[in-house]
Amino acid sequence: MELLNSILYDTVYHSAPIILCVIGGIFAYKANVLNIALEGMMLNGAFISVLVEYLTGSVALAVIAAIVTTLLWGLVFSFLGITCNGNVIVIGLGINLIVPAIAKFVLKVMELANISLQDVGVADFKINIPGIKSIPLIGGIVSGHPVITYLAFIGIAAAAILMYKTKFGIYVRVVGENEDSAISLGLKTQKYKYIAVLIGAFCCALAGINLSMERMAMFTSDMTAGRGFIAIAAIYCGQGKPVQSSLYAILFGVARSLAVNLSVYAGPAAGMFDTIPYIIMVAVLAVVSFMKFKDVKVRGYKFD
Amino acid sequence: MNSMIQTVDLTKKFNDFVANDHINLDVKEQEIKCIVGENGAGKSTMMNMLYGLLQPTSGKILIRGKEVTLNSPVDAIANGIGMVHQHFKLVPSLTVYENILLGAEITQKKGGMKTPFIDQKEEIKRVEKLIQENHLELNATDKIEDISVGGRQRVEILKMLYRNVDILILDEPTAVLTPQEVDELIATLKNLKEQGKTIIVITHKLREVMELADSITVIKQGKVVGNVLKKDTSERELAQMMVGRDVVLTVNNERKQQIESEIMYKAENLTTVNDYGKEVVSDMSFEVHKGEILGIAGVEGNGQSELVKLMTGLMESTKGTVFFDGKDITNWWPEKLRKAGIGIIPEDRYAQGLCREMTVSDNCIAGYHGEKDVCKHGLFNKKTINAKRDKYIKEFDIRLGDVNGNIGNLSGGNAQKVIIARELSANPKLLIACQPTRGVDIGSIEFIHKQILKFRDAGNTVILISSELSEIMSLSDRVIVMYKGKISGEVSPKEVSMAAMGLLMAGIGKEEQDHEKER
Repeated sequence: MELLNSILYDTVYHSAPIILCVIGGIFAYKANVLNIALEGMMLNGAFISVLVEYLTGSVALAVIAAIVTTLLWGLVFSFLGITCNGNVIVIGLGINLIVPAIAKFVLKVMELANISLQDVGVADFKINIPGIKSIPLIGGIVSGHPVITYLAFIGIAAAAILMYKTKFGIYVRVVGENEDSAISLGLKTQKYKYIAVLIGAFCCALAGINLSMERMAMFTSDMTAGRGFIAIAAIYCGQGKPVQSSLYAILFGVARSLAVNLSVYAGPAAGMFDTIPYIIMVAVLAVVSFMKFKDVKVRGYKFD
Repeated sequence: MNSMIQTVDLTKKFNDFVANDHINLDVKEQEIKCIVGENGAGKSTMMNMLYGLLQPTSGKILIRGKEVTLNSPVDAIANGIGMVHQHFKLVPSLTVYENILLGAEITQKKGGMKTPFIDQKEEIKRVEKLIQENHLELNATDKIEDISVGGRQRVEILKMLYRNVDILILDEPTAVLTPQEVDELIATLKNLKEQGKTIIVITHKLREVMELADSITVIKQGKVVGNVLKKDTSERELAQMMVGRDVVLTVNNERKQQIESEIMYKAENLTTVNDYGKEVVSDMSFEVHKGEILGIAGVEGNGQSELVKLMTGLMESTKGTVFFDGKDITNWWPEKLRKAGIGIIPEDRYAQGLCREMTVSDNCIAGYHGEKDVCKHGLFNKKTINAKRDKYIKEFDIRLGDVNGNIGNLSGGNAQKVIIARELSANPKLLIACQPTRGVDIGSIEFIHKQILKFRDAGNTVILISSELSEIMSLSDRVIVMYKGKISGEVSPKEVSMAAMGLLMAGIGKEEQDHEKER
């Protein structure tokens, strides 16, 4: 019973940063500017938040600094990729490479292996929801998470509403699907692409803060560990739909949680669970793609 | 009547190329103006300037006598100009009403305050009202991807009407429509004119011009060459103005020898489906004899593209067999087809026939690049390739600025000649020619037609697919007509009337036509 509880709690815990990356990435995906820099942006959020808190002791300042700097990366990405028409894959890759390099450099200069926060602890960020906390089973799972974890799950609904119920959502989809149509009606297509990328940067910053400061109160190099790429895979599997893509993100949370919790019993073999999400992802992507092209009779077909 | 829209010395240059040269146009209030000209005459450039998509190099645009600057489509719409493009600018995954209101969404109001949420009920109501007012056949909540081409065009028109435009520009509106849909469109446009709209239609189909227009402006090579009222002119006179000489395209198509009885090419129950699993070529069976030109006619989008892809190895069939020269060649790849003796002139010369970013000589061997004379031990022999190129340039009168340059620099006609030179020089027994003269100048058209006839007269076989009815009728020995992926009739081009062809293209077969006559 306790094990199940702990698996479910950890599922929520591990899903949150991936969900944030997913809801950040879907808008860029729908606007046809694939943001592969989610990983780098998330690491930036993780690093800057812990660094600023370590130097100033102010959590608020840390959060603001993390968000602002990640948005700057978003602007760099948009400027090079949208205004200058650069290759978004190359630019995204560049950001993914430079952010961890900067972090490592700063750690080196500070002569630290990692940054551990002393004045705030993990417990300070946990929110215990009165009332819900005392409900058996659910209370233990739903209550006791840091604030951004809750934001992530609320974010799924917010993203779905933004995508399907507002002008902005329709415009983003139009820009991605038929840019000519948007131009012929005088929509500023670049503006919507910029906003889509910046939403992504904002969500990645939150994911990073969640990952380092809120959950661990520390920063270690490369701590994002490919979560940004997992989010991209989730976006593809869910075809950019907010709820479906988030469900794939949660699937990863489940797998990760199993790996962590069962390691106590299975020993080193529990590491095998870490491969589950990747195997599922490869299988899902292959099946989705196969179903899509199964009946295509045109040879050498390509989607443009 | 007052002038609605005028242009004064409107000029547009792309680098050195003058697309529009001092165009003076005068469209009166509440008239239907047709602008005619050949492909590449500069009609679309001019309309794109009126709609703010392009900015003129020099000259003025006046609306109701007042000069305006149109920097974007938004400016144009604000000035009452709307445009329906040749290639629709609709979003397939959105519904009819969402497309019509795109960029002008209605948001919900709560207690006088604006909210960011879209009021879908109100949007549907408004669009349904608009559809009713204009007597159009449309369902506001259908998705664009589910409705017909004619329906999509009506959505485009409504999109502009919703924005209260006074001037409606339509760019080649009938190119993708069946004859019946064309009639409906003409009725719709005349109805709009009655309601006070001014309409400009760009086209090169003269028959429709005569049905639709009040006045006509003819453009040739970027210049206005004639302004006439419909009542003072004829199809013949317009054609003469468009081309600049008296006769339009009459190649001498006298057969020198009989068609042989030997069957060269035979398709049996050929069938395939498109990406959505819909049958686009259904049970097509036909034969082509040695020394014959078989024409395949039809309104665009009735499966001709897919049939050509099937015949040239770019698409797989789901059913049926194809024989060529006694061999089963079903679903062979293009390389093997070329080796077997089939020359291919593809539908889209830049997508399937040539590689724009490669040199003329590279393109001269494309598809035949494995032949021993140009490629030994996996290495190209540049000398023979260049010799080939020079031979083609001479024999096929290909005009180009730089022999070592990329094929993308050539004009449409000359690029097409490179394909024809390449395919015919490989001495095929069968030529599959798809839209061989699309977007090609008159001189090249004549040359290409002569080459096709010369090839036939040498005892070879040709399958000609074209949406230009005149081309099919003047070249073919026998014509089959396609409608919705099926053969709706087979005729002899010398005996059939244009009216009967029109009915076949609308899917009304011979028996039904006879039946109609009896009644």
